Amino acid sequence: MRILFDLISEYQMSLISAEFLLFIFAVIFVYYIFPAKAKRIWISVANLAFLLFAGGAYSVLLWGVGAAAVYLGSLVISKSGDSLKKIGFWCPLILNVVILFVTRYQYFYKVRAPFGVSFYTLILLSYLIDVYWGKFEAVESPFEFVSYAGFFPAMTSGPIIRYKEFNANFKEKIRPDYKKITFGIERIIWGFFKKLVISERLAIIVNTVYGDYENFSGLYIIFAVICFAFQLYTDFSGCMDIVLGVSEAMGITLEENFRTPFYAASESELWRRWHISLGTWFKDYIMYPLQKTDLMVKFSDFCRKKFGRKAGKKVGVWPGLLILWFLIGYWHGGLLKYVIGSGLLHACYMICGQINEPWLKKLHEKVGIKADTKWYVVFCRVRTFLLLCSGFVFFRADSTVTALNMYRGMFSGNVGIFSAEGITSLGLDVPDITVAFVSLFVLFVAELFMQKGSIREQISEMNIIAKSIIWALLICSVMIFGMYGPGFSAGSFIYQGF
Amino acid sequence: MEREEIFGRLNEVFCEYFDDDDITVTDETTAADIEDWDSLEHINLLVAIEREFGIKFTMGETSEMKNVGEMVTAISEHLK
Repeated sequence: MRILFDLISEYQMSLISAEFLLFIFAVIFVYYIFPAKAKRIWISVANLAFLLFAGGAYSVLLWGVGAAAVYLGSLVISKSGDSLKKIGFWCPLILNVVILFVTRYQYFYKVRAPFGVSFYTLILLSYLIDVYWGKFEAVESPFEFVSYAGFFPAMTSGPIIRYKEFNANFKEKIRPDYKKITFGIERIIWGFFKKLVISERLAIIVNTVYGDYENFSGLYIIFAVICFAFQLYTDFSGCMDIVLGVSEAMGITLEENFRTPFYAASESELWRRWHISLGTWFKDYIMYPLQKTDLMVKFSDFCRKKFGRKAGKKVGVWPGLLILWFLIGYWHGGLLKYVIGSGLLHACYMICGQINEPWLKKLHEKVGIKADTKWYVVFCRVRTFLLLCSGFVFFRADSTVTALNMYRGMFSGNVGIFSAEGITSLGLDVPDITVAFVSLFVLFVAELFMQKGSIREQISEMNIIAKSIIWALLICSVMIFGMYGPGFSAGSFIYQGF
Repeated sequence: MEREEIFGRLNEVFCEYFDDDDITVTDETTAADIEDWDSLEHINLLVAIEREFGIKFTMGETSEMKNVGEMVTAISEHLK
């Protein structure tokens, strides 16, 4: 028994393991055998099993404590008078925030963070706050609650699902649906392609430069920074493809967490396309309540009087914007480099964008630049991408000081990377670099098609030969070019660490 | 207050808030239809609407309204 317990405690199931594929195959198979009413009981069992395999009994215990508090607290909110409502709301909220702070940010003790704590805490809190705000009644069935609050595909890296959205999937009887199951599997393969073929390759270049940044300079660093943007995107969105694919195969539709973010033409558009569920969580539960406080309303009124109606409207939301982005950055790990790179830097870009908007508009009119011309849109997309990369320098570096040193090294004028020796000095040989670039081109083309709607719908409308070739090529490329197998262990998903 | 009357007054708030007399809101109007109506402007717009009608939206309503039709329904609920 003890050996079994140790085995489970030590074992960590990853979304990119053969064990996980077997796990989801077994879960989905039994899921469709079970009658409709028992499906959520089965999801609850699968959730606990996954958490046990991925994070050990410790993670199950801490998740259980937080989830039980929210379950009971929300019932108190729904069933009792005003005075108890506050207790039902604040007790579970404080408990979950304390668990997150103590285990994740480790200011007080060195303790292991439970698996997925940053994500499931936000999921639990969204449920609790929604019940408190009267958006819906608390659910009485513990299985209905556990099937949502610990939904296993979303435990690794989100998305931060909302109860209403999740529950809507069960309004109608879920039956095995050929299209949903095949679309789900296709999406999982696409996720594996992004993670194993692209992300893991780029990781080698990124690790080489970031791990030894003092010995690199100029374009080497810039190249690694750009590679990291693609590494992170293919890693995180690849993970989301697997998560949403597994859910889809179970007949459960979740909101998208990414919508081709590198096609965003402005900072504000970027954050409506990148890690969407995190942004909307902080907007709904932090920024909106904050902006509705009397103090902030008074500040907005003051700004309108002081700066005029148009400018005052913008200035009035800046404090809220800065607090929002501070917290988003902080959530990533409580370190200064996250607060800057994934937080305040982007708030500053947005504020600068608002300040510059009026005179840029005038300049465009004067020079004759039309905002909707193709080349200008491309220019805006490149600019937005580079601004995103500028934050990622902090995000990926060991510390803020390292990031600043890397910035200093970037502008040394070293262009040696353009030689064959230069580019192969970053850990990848010519064939691997070729695979990485060709795969990125495939991703670019696929995302271009995604602008016109679901790419899987577009492929499913092709004839059987064409679609077979496309999927066979994708599966083969994952199997041949994917970085996995004996002697190579694919890194865990980057956001799994959060 | 009838829905049409609410729509009329609401339209004035929108025109004044977004500084655009050409705005005509309908049940289906969403943030995507009005250029400056983004998530940052949303709360200030709601505060302007609250002042016009002398009501206070709950936090649940604030993040739940998907279009102007739902907004009008919420306003009429408060005015009952």
